[in-house]
Amino acid sequence: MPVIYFLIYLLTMIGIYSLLAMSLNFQVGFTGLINFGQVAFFCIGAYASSLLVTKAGAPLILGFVGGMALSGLFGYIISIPTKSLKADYWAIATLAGGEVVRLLALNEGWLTEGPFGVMSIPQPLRWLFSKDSYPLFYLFLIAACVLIIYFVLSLLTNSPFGRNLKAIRDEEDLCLSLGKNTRKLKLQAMVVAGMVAGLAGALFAHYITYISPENFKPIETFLMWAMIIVGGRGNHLGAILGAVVIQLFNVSTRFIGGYVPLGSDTMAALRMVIIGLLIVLFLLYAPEGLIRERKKVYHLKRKHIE
Amino acid sequence: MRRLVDVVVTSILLGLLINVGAVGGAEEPVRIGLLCPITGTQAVMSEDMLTGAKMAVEETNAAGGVLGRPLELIVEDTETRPAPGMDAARKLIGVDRVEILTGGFSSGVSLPIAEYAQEQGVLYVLAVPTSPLFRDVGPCCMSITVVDSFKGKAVADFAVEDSGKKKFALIHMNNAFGQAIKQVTINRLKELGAEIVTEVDYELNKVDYKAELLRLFAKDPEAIVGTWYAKEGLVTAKQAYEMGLLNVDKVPWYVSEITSSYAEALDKIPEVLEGIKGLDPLEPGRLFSEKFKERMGREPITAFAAHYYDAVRMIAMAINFANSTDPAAVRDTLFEIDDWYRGMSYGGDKRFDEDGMQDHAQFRKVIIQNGKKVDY
Repeated sequence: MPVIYFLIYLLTMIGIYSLLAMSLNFQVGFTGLINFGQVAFFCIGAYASSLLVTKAGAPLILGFVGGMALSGLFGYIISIPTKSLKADYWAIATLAGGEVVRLLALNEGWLTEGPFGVMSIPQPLRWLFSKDSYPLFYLFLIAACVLIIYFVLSLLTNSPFGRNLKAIRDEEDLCLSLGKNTRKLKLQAMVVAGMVAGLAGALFAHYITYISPENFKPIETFLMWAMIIVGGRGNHLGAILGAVVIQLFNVSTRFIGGYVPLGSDTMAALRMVIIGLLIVLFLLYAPEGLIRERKKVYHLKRKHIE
Repeated sequence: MRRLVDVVVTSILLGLLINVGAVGGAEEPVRIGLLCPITGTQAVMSEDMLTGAKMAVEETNAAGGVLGRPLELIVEDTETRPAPGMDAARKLIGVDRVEILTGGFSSGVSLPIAEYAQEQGVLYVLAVPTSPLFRDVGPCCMSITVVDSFKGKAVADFAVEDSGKKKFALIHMNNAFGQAIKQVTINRLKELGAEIVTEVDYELNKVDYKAELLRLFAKDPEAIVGTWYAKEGLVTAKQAYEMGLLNVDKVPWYVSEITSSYAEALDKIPEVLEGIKGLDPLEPGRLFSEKFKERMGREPITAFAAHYYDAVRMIAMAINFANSTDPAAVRDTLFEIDDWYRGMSYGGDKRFDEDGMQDHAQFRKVIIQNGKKVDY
C-alpha cells in the first residue's frame, strides 16, 4: 500500500517539525526570546551530524550526539554577545545569526561541499530493515524522540528553572529584582532549545539522506513560527499540534487540487496564501492559539490577609 | 477550532480515498508525474515550462496517446524548496503511484528526489537540473539536458580563442549550477594557458551587485566570463554600465548562456548589452517556438520550455516502443530511441551516455548587436 508510505512520510516530517516547534516554543513561549534564526540550529544539527558521519567516519550515534552538542554550543555562542539585548534586538541578532550559518554552509566548501550539498548520508540501523519496513522504523524512532523531548521539556518547564524562564518572559525586571541571574537563565534556555532543534536537524538529514544550504533558508524559520502561532505558545502540546496543522495544510492543497475547478498551478500558489490567512485569522481571533497556556494562578486566601 | 481541524483531516482523507478509487477503469490514462517550481524563486519560468509539457501531452494524445491510452500529467509544485519538493515527489510516487517522473528545476531540490526515486525504482527523467552529482545517483536517474561541464568548457574555449587575452576574471552565482560551471571553466582556462585573476561568487536575489562588480574588476582583468539568471543579469549589466565597467572594446564579456542570463535585460536595456558575446543553446526548434507563440501569444522567455517538451515527448515515445510503463523497460528504450528522436532543445540531438546523462551538446556563438542576439 504505497499510500501508507506517504502517510508515514507525512507523520515523520510532522515529527521533525514538532521538535523544531517545541524548541522554538521553549524560547518564545516560555522565555520570551524572539528567535528569528531558529533554522540555524536545524542547519547545524543536520550538517554536524552528517559531516561527522560521512567525512570523519564517526559512528551514527556520535553524529547525532555531535549534532545536538554543536547546535547547543551555537545556542550558547549566539547568546554571549546578545544576552543583554531586549526582545526586538534579539530578534534581529538571531535573524542575522541564522543567515550567517547558512552562508557558512554555502561558502565553506572544503567542509560542507558548498552549494552541492552532502549526499548519501547513511541511515541508522538501515541494514536491520527491508526497504519497506525502514520508514516505519524511522517513524517510531522520531515518535520516540518527540515523546522523550516532550517529557524532558515538560519537566524543565515545570521545575523552578522553568518558572524562572516564565518570569523572564512576563517581567524581566521583576525577575532581576528577585536576584535571579536572567542572563545566565536565557543562555541556558538557548542551549536547551539548540540541542532539541539540533536533534531535529540530525534526524532530518539521516532521513532524507541529502542536505544542501537550500534546505535552511529563512522561510523555514517562519514556518516554525506559523506552527507555534497556530498551536499556541507556552505549551508543548500546542507546538506539536501546530506542526500537525501546518504540515497538513501544506500537503492538503495537493489533494484538493483535483476536486476543485482550479489548475494545479493556482492551487500551488494558494498554499502560501492559506498559511498566511491562517496566521492572520489566529492572530485576530485566537491569539493564544489552539491550545492555551495553562497559567497557574495562586489565590491568596482572604483570611491570611485579614 | 476543532471543526477547522476536522475539515482539514477530512479533506486529506477524502483526497487519499478518491485517488485510490481512481485506479482501475477502461480508458485509464497513463500517468506520469511532473515536478515543477510553480511558486518560489524560479516561479517566473514555470508557466513556460508547464506550457511546454502540456504541448507535448496534447501532441502525444492527438497522435494516439501511449499504449492506446491517453497520456496524463500529474503536476506537483516544488516551491523551489527541497522540503516541499520532497512532499511533491512522495505524493506522486506514493499516492498517485506514478512510475515515471520528469521535470525538475533546481539541482538542490531534485537531488534528494532523485535519490528517493532511485530507492523506489521510479524513473526520473530530468528536464532542467544539471548538477554533475546526478551521475552518481544510479540507473533510475536520467537527463535530457547536458550537465554543466559542457557549457563551462565551451565558454572557456570560446573566450580564449575569440579574445586572445590571458588574464580572466570570473563571476558566477553561488549555487550548485553556477559553481559547477565555474569549476569546469577554471580548469579549461588553465589548460589553455590563461590566468584567472579573480573569482567572484554572488548571491541570488540581491538588488545591488556593485560590490561584486568592483571586486570583479579590482585586478585589471583583460576579459570577463560569467553566468547569470534573468534577474541578476539585468541588475549587474545595468550597474556595470553605470559604473563604466561595461566596456567590451576594452574588456570583452563572455556569457555561458546569453538567453537565460539576459532574457530580461535584452527586453529592458538592450543598448547596454551591445557587444557582449556568449553561447546559446541552438535555437529551440523553430517549430516549437511557433507553436508556443500560437498558444501563448508570445515567445517563450526561457529555453526550459523546450526541455520540458522534449522530456515528456521522449518518455511517451519510449513507453510506446517499450510497450510498457515499467521504469526499467522505459529506461532501456530511452537509450535506444535517443538516435531517432529530433528534439526541440539544445539543437534537438539527444544522446545518453552510460550513466543516462547527455554526452553531447552543441552551442551557437552569439553576439548582441543593435539590441538583438545574432550569430557570431
